[in-house]
Amino acid sequence: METILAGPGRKIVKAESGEDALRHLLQQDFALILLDVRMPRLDGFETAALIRQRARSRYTPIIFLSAVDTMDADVFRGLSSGAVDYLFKPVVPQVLQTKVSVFVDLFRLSEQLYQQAVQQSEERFRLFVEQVQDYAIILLDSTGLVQTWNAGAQRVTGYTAAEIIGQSLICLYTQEDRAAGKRESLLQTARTAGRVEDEGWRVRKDGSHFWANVVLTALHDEAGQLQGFAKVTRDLTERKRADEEIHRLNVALEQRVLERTAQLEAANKELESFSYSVSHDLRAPLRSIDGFSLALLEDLGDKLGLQGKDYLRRVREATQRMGQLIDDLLNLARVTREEMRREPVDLSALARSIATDLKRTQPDRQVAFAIADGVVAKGDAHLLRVALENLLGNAWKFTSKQPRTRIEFGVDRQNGTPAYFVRDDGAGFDMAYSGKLFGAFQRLHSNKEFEGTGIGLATVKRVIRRHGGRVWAESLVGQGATFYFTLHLPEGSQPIGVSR
Amino acid sequence: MTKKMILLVEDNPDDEALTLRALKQNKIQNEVVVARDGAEALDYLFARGAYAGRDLRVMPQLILLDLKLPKVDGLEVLQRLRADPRTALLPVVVLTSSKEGRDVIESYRHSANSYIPKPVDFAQFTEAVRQLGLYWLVLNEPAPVPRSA
Repeated sequence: METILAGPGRKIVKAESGEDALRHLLQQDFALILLDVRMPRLDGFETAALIRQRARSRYTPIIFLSAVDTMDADVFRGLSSGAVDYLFKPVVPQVLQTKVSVFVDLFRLSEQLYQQAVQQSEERFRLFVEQVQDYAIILLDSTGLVQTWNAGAQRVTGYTAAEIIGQSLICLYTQEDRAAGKRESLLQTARTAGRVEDEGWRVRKDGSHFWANVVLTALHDEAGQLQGFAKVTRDLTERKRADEEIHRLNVALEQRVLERTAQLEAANKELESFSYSVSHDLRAPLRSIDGFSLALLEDLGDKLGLQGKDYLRRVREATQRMGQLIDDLLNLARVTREEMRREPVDLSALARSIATDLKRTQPDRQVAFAIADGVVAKGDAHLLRVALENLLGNAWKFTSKQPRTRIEFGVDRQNGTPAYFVRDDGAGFDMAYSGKLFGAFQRLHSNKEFEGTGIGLATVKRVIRRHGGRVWAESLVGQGATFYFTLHLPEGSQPIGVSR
Repeated sequence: MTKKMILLVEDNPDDEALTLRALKQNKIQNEVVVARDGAEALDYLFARGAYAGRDLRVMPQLILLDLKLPKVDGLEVLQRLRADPRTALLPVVVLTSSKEGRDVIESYRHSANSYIPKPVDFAQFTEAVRQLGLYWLVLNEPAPVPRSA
């Protein structure tokens, strides 16, 4: 049999039993297995099954040898247990030789192809790794000495392969990291945990620093023995610098916001103490002027004569007008700096309560108030009261020359937004001057016609603006005026204005 | 029964004269002691300094207190006076130029009995004095002055 099979480049191993065959298969690869079906203990079928179970011999071709009287069932069993062919004894040398040669050639060919494929793949991979520019991809041996060095490694660190292969890479660490034993501790962590990642400053060949992201992975062979490490390093200096710049800008921005807030707070405080001082100090002399004028009128009135009394009356009127002016100005300031709340406000109820107050000031007047029911808006109740007081107060004032008048409060829709309005049938104004309407100290009527300080509508405008709304008016001289306002505080937004 | 006396704490001489006039016009004839700043008011109430030896059983029936005062301001006077059992129950009416919300709130927080912003229109002020005089000097039953040790 051996003589039949012998040939150039062929090695024949003879196994005496199934167990013996398995032992040989552990030690080397075979091009072909010829397996006798009849063997003591482990028969051919059982042996074939065991051979197939092993990864290394899973695809090794098996030819069964069997007596000529073999039944078809046996042939079938042999083929299904992994045989590629069946030969009957006595073996015809010619047939055996031909079959064996086919398998041996096939084996050689596939070996060759496999080797070529491995070589090509390794070559491609080597080229790929070598030429990657953005990553330093290197292999270290189990003690941490450099074995391979790609283009990326050279680009990132400045060292050439010739300079560094066989070295330990300690040259890449900063003085502090060297003193702290960073290289050793990273290697140790990779050994025990299998992988370690690190970010930190490293040193290039020229002494400059770069921010490195490093992944160090331990490599083991099939038996679990440490073979070395794969080390992938990225130069993230640009990103690090950008991060630091963003951080620096954020800190600077925060600082600026703090400063501005402090400035605003200081300005606000100043305004507050200014208002407080105005409130106290500007009013006090007016009280003296008014008080002593009245004392003169009361105590010495008969000695003053009609003209003298008239002069004093004018002094008192002027004083009180100035008192009103101070109050209105303070109110205007307060409307700006007061903290805002956001809650549902019943504007109908507010308007009704203001109307009642107005009627009380001049009970003889014939004014019909038409106030729409259930008008509710979101805003600051106190500020909205100030606005409505001014608008309804104006309507009251500018209808005072008529014996019977009507003042209306309600809500219209303008482009889907509610526009609240106060309408009167009073004196009205010339629309040509409507631009001046909402400026402080701007008046469209003389004091002789209608008294006023010219601050009321400026106050209204501030209130509405703090609510994110708009205020405007429509009028015809002699035919009354309508003042509209919208309120628009989007959900979750901060009311406009300075908070305390 | 000692005469019902009013303590007026006021640094502005015009306001002092006008307040006295308003009292007189309203036929309020009680003796009025005037303190020109907060420190003097406290000296009077606790018989110290220029008022050492004053009979502490005599306490004002009503204190009219301005808020903006030199040395010790009105709110502090109020605070000290409420902290002392001898003066804790004295009626104090804060009379001031200011309509600032915080003045009103602080005054009531320090247990002022009443707060009257002094209007520019003196006729209105006279009317306010008439009403507060009627209430605090005629209708109100004062708390007994505690015996001092």
